[in-house]
Amino acid sequence: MRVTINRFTILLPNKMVGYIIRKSFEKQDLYPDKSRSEIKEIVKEFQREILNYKKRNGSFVLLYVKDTDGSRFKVVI
Amino acid sequence: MQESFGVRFQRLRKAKNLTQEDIANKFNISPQAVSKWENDISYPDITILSELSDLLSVSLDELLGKKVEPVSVQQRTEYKDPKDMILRLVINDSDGSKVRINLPIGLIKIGLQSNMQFSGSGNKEILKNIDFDQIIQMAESGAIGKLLEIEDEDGTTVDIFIE
Repeated sequence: MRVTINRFTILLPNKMVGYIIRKSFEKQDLYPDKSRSEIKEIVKEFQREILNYKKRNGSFVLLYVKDTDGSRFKVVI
Repeated sequence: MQESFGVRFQRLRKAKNLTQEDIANKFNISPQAVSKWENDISYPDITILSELSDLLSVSLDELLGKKVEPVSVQQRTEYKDPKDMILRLVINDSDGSKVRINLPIGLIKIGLQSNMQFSGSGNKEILKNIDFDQIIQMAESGAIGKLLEIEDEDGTTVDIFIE
């Protein structure tokens, strides 16, 4: 996984995909009624699906954000 | 070797069981004129070609010897598997920020099955009313391309593509 913040790029192991997903779940409050362990299971499913997709179709940009101040954030799987 | 106009015309006339006289009567010309066409001595006037082709039940192209390529129908046998499709969300915020999210369809399905609350407090207001279930159904039925374009009151736009 490649995370780019402005001009800096960090290469992270694919296992970290789960972390990113969990954080976005929390930020967006997507599972307000679920327990921590239930969310953990869903995150695992998401991670598995993302990695399987990558195996079948190659790398893809999961997220790209360009803010008004010009800052950029990009996640490539 | 390419068939001459005269030979082709004669072949088509005979195929319709018409005589040179029949053709001559139809166009108010002499049978000799028709004979000259068939011997490639002269050619019919351009103004009667269309009517002539109708009389012989052929297209103008065929009458004039233009090769008619058979229509090729290619059957679409390979549809992309929905699990290999991506749902692309393009969000252009009214304040100028841009967000692009590419989500494999499989992820959306997991989200729907696990009762993900797209209306969660952290989500953009404009995303809350999108029926992702219907979008998945469209993807599974083979829809590809831009499916949705929404603009809210403050000018934020969301475009949804399936690729």
